[in-house]
Amino acid sequence: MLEKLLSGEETSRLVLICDDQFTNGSTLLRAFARSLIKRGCQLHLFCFEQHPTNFIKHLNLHNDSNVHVHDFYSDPIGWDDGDGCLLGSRLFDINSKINQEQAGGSNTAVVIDSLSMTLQTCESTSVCQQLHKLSHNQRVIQTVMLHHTHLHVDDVTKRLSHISDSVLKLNLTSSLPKITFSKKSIHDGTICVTVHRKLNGKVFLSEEKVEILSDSSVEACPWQQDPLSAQTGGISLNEEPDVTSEANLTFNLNLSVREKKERSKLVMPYIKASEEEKVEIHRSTGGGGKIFYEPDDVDDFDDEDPDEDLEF
Amino acid sequence: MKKVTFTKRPAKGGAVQVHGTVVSLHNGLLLVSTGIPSLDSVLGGGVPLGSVFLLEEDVHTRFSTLLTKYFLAEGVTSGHGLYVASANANPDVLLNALPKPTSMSSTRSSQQKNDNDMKIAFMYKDLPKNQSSLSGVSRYGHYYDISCNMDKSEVEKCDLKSLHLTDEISYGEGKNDMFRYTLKHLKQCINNSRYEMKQKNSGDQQLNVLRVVLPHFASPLWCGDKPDNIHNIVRFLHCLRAVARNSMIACLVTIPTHLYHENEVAMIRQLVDTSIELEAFVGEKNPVFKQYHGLLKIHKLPRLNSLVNFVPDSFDLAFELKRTKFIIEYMHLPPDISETASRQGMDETNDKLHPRSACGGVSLNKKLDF
Repeated sequence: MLEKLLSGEETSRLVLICDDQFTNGSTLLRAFARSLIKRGCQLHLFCFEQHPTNFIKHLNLHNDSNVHVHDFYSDPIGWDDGDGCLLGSRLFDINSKINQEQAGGSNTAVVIDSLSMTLQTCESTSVCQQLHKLSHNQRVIQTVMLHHTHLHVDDVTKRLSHISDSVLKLNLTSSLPKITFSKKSIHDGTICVTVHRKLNGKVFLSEEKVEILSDSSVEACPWQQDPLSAQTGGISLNEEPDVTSEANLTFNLNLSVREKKERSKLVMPYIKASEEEKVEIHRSTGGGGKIFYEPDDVDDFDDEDPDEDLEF
Repeated sequence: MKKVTFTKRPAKGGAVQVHGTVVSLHNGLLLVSTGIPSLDSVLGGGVPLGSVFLLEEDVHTRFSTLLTKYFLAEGVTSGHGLYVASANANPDVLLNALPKPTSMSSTRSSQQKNDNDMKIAFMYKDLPKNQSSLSGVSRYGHYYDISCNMDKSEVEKCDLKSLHLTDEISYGEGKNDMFRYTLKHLKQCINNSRYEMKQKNSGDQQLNVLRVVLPHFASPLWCGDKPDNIHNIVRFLHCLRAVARNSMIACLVTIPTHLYHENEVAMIRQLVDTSIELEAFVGEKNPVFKQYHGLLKIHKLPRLNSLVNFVPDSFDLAFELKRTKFIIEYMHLPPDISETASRQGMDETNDKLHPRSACGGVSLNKKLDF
């Protein structure tokens, strides 16, 4: 899903990349920027957290004529009377700027390095409204934003996720990244959990292990959480294999493969007995004993037959 | 021909007869269908006229948008008026994508065959036939096919009013007046129209139902800059309920309540008449929920003119979306056949994936299994 979003196969007007104190989302942001430029878009770059030249350097572009930089990093408070001043929320002139600048082009993309500064100066609801307007601007094909979830309240993240079409959350593979008691450390990779909402409303969730190479291209492969590590919460207290109480026993409780086969071949006693019974019932209809009685002259001939077993 | 004794007597004065509505069996209110027959039965027949129906959205708004579409589509098939006020997207986008009713074409053909068939029961030939969907307005509760869109001509037959709240409209001072503007606009639409309940029924305008839909209400796009948005929302709902009680309208409001605090949600629920919440499954692995698309939670049921409201058989409801139906079912426990019920030691690999434990807790991999 991540690669489809990057290549543009899946259209998503507003992409939100969420990272926290353990993960770094700016590399993924750069990857998005690079793929947008490759697709031939005019990129409007809003830099708040790093110098624009630094950002562009890592994109490895042949020519950066397609990139329009809005620098809010160098002079945020306006001491030098520059253009990039945060006070007065100049960020929100995006829409008008885009509509002014290009007469003909309809392939514009916006990349915002980080929303944190803007969210600190303005209300989150007005930021949401402005971003919504931007995403519905006919000229803009995609807006990609980076959001640091640990700097803001949960509510803000929820609101931003609500207006976005795709939300990419970066996590580490192990749930407790720093604490490992064992000698061998669990390899910490970055996972990207993507929740993408298509235009027709359907929602897709995917978890992928992400690796971003030095030229800002992305490799993603599907990842499933290892159930063993999920149970123990990623902490392995004891790396010695399989501490069991069987170690002290003198007999073996398990069966080998051969023994299992033998066991399945074994016929149970109740099976045998029921089969025998079936055979006996068939035989019993022919047998039985007969009594022949010939009365003497002296015998009393009793007409009664209390036991009813005499034949006359 | 002599008429049979059991002809339907025309309703004698006083009873309001509006097409597309039904009188509730529980409390005598006039109900309108939500567009989903199974939801109607869960609510006790439908949405009462003059009430506000709150739909608490699922996180990705997939199913809440669908329910809004069903509600509007039902309005079209019943011949009601439609009113949509949206800050999110143009209401026309929503109105152009309504699902198509499924059984309209099939009954039309079967109706023509039965015309001269009555050879034995010829006495009943003159009686009005059973309601069919040809007239389109008398049947209650229709099924819709979401893969096809309704004909535009059908939609345009209805009385459509829409309001798209964008920056271009000047609301007055401050963004909070967006709510006031919407209320004013709605009142203007209702005043002196067929949707208003007058003291004397002048008789020239037949009463009709207006379906008022406010999709994605109270999303971040509706709210102003001040942090006390909840007060504005609450005030709006209060006024909306007042407007609703005095007119022939049925309101559907969808709110993304997951963005609000519990106290705020409780305040919102207090001011509406019916409240249901949708919780959609995304990547759900629980086998009990395998065939369903989400859960339906009922938070409030209408109690407009009685002491006791309608109570459904069970509150554990789940919904499933099919192409032609939206089904809501009572959830029940599946038969207790454990998936890993096997002889000890037979399926060791299975054990590792689904570790069984005697007491129901998640256990670490135990080697000794008794």
